[in-house]
Amino acid sequence: MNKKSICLLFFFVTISKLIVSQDKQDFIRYLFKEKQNNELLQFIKESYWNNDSLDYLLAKYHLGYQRDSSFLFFVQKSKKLFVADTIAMGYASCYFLKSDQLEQERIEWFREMQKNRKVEGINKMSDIFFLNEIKSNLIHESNFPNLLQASVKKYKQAAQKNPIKAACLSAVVPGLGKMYIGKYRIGFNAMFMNGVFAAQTYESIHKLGVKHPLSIVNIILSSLFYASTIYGSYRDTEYYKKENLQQLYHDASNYYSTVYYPDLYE
Amino acid sequence: MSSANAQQSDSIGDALLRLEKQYYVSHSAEEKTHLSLQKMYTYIQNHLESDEQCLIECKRINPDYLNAEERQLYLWNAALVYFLHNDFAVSVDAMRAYQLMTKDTSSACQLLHILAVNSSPYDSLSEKDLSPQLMELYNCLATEKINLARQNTKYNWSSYIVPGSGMMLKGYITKGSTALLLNAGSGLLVYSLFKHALYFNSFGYALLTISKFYVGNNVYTRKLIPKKKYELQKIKLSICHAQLNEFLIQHPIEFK
Amino acid sequence: MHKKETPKALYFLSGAMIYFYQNCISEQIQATCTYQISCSEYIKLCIQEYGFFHGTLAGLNQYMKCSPNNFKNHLAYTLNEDNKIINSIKDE
Repeated sequence: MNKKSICLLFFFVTISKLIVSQDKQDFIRYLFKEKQNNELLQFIKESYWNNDSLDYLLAKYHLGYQRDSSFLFFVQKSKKLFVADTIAMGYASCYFLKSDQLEQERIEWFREMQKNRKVEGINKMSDIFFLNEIKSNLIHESNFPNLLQASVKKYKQAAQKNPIKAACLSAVVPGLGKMYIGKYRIGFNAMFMNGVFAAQTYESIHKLGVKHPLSIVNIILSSLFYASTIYGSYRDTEYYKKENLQQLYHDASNYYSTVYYPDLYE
Repeated sequence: MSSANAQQSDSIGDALLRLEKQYYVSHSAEEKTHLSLQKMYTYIQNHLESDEQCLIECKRINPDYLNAEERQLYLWNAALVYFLHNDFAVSVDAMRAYQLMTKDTSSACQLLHILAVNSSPYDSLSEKDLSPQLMELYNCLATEKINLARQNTKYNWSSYIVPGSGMMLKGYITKGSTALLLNAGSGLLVYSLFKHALYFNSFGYALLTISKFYVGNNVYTRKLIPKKKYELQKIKLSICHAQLNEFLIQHPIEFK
Repeated sequence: MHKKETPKALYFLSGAMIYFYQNCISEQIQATCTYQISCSEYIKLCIQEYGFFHGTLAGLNQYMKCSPNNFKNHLAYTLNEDNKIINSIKDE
């Protein structure tokens, strides 16, 4: 065999391998779309059993079916290959952004993304994830895509609310602290209940005296509701920031998964 | 034992993957239908009919590409698969199509029809669909779906006048007397507060107690079925369910 | 927040009141809650977890927010299958 024929043979073998591997990828994509998860797993195990890509494909498989613990197990084993697949990374980032569980794993994931700032969509997602570490007055909506600017603005306004201020407002006028964070109906409800109890207490003390059992019951009830309004205003203001952040995560996850990473097996 | 199970599941997985590969490569809708049918039967033969994948295969099949015999078997098996996956409306449709095609009047067929229709909120059966014995059973089971409370409004009005009386007249003495005590007690409290010129207190406690007890009592009375009727219905239903279980043991519903 | 020591009398009194309410009164007033963990259950769990005072305040706070149409102000992912707002005592 001369050099030319060896080169031609080598060329054809490489091309056919590429075609075969492309066919395998197409078939995997087809099985995922058709929700043939048993067949997909069988095919991956069959085709890649002696290949370095097995763990990486199994990680992708478990990510597609949202099996958290299995996904994390296989991704640890195939970090290099997984990191090289930007679409899978983006898809996983969208998933982690939305999920409420796996607190520690999410933080670790996005810390890794911050170190590896190559892909724009993933960069933005990790920036959004750590927005709560930045002061609210330093956040600029214009740095984010148009469709997310409203959510970012809402979060920024929520982050600027002071829980102590809300508690003080509620101490002065019960219910005002709840209206401070935009919950007008709940604030009015609290105002009304506290008003009725206060009127009851005043009337009973004025007409029956402090030591009367009815006055004691009224004092206990009104002070409990008053204290819970103040406590509630403080705690709800703290939680308001968290709620808006979670909403931002959801919106960002939906945006990036629709625009950048709609398909795991592209 | 576990290695034998693993081997068995590998062979099922191999078979399914082989069929899916053929499905992927095929260009003919008829061939694809037959391959999906084979996959569905693989799941059924290996007792994996409750797997979601079985339902997916069932949905992929187009009965127009099947011949008469295949279609008969498919409709029966599909009705059962949809029933197992709680898709009762489609199960009823498949059952009806099967009966139109085969005129099957076996007890197993009628029992499956009863079970599917009973679980579906919108369907019903008529006398021509069932034998007289099974029609009686079906009518008995169907009483579970009927809102008996809506039909028994006889004593609802009395709760507006004397809270708790409606419940007592319907046979619930303890519930009625509790309601009466609560309403009377809170009414007395509000009245005595008003009498002592404690107007804010009377308003506040009226809001907190009477309004909730009175309105709640009326809503609860309307929901209650008269006790005798309720207990009769309970006994009837338990007899019906026992009869149904007997029928199912005598005429088991199986895949074909 | 660590569990504070509550006087036993208060603990049993609150338990008895909640028991009485849940078994006798809630059925009579046909009480429904917009939250997944109902208000009375929430107070009970908060008192067990956080002590009497903190638990009562947290429970009453939820009670004041509980109204029939409240779930409409909440987003879809915060609601469960029965349109009840998902809540947890860990949020306190």
